[in-house]
Amino acid sequence: MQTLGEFKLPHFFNYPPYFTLQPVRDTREKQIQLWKELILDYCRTQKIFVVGLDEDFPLFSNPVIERSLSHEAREAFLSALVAEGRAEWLDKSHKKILILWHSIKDWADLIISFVKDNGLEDGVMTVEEIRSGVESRGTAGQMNQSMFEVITRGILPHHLASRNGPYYSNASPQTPGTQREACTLQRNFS
Amino acid sequence: MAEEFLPAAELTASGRPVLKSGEVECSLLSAVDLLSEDNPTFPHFKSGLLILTTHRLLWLPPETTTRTETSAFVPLSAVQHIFSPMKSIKSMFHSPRIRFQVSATPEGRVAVSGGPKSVVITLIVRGKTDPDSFLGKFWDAWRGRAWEASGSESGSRSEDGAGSTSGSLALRAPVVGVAGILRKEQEMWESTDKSLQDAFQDLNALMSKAKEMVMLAEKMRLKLLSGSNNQTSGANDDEMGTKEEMQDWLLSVGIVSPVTKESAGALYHQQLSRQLADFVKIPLERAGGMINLIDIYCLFNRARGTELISPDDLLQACSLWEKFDVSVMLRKFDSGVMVIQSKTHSDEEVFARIKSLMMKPEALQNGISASDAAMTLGVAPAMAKEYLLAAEGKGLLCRDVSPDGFRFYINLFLELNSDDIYFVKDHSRYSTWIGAVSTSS
Repeated sequence: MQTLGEFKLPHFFNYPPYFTLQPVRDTREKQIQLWKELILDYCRTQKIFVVGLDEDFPLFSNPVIERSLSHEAREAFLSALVAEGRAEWLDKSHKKILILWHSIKDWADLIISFVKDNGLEDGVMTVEEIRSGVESRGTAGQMNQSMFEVITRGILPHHLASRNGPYYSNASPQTPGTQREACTLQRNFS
Repeated sequence: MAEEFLPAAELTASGRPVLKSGEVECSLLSAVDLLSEDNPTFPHFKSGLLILTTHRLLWLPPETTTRTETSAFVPLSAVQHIFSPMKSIKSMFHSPRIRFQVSATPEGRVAVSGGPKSVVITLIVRGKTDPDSFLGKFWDAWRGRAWEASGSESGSRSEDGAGSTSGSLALRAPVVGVAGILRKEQEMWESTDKSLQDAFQDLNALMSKAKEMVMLAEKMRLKLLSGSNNQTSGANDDEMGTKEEMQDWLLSVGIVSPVTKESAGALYHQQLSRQLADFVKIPLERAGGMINLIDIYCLFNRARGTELISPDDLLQACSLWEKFDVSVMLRKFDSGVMVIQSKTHSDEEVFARIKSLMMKPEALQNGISASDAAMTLGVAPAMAKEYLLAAEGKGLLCRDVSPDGFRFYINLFLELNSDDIYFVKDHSRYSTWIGAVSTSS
């Protein structure tokens, strides 16, 4: 069986029609389904958050059978992920996509339980602290740089605020530190 | 009942009369009654299709009734006299009538051989066609006495031909070697050329030449056949190839009595449609049950020789098949390609063949292109592509578009499990495919 780094590829990865967007509806739906699963599986195991549509993403080409996905096909598969809530476009031109291999709700729950487990409910934390702070080491699924994107997109804060009442985020451009827009997670006293 | 008086006419499956050798249709009239005013027991054939040929006057039952109803004919050889139409005030208000006298047996039966008695038959033309021009053609056909010419010939010219004609060939000057054959062919072509020139001089002469042309073609075919049999040595492959080709050409000359606008008038498309239905059977069989409309257009016009039809006429003739009980149909693919296929032809059968073709290890691994399929299925590449696309539409195949070209693979997608992408079901196409791919790599 073919592998991609440590990732084990399914047999059908060597099936040439897998790389051509199928025109027949039933076949195409199944093909999209298989691509969605493969992309999510791969991103989950490889901790990949952001995929560039025109960048070299290892799944999008198979040198063994000399096939690669067309732009149209990539967009079709990724759009299907977006439609299912398993990804979000990061720009209007659909060049970059955020893969949510945990759904937003799951991410929110993860952070809430992390906050609770560490007794941080009454404090104020910057996102940077959540991401790389001492407390979070070894927890919350080892967030890397891209995790930052998840939170700063404003997706997560929105969901946290709406779903879990006491917590909300405060995005402040004045916050010194990183070049990125920083967010804070605070208890909502109102 | 009707057979007691008139002989029954033989019809093809699509309802066209089976013509005798050398017989040519001259005119068609619809909604014609055929009866005998003198003899009350004579059956009254009501509102049918009347076809005048050089040999016979055929009456076919109207469309609305079932095919089993008797069709009848009056041999022109039995006609003794054609009466001039009566011009009277009374006739102005009647449907036009044409009366003629035919010889009959003592029992009143009209026969080719004639008889001592005679019976007057009346045709009542109820349609809006012009009976006078028909009467003129009737006179021409009757006086033409075409049946006498073919009657004397039929003895020497048998239908299957090969045996008798090779015999007659032996009586001619011996053909020595390749040069002899070439010389004979040259002579043949010269005489063909001459008859072609004669034929084009005037259209009426053309009609009379048509039969001759077909006979010529037939003769040449037989000569070539016997030539290739006799020539055991000295003929190289190239020459044999051209001979086979020539034979094919000659074989495809063959419609002695093409339906024309002139003869059929308003019934043109309907009759053309029936003739076409009879014609396509053989090429259709050869092509495996489905044939491109363009191919048929070429074949049909070549067989017609001089009375060419327009593509529009062909299309109209094909679309009329829906209304008749014929064994062929016009089919339009999604891509717009139009084909003729026999009704017995089933896509399932072709799909089954494609499937077995696709499951070969080679095809599993590399897929097949339209031209590969064309070779295996024995059809034109364009047709093969239509088949493959149809099979794709059914979910049997799926496509692979790459710099290498457009290829088709057996569809594995529908078998795969999207909940567990590593799952391989035993004895599935997927596992067969994995087997084929892994053994080769």
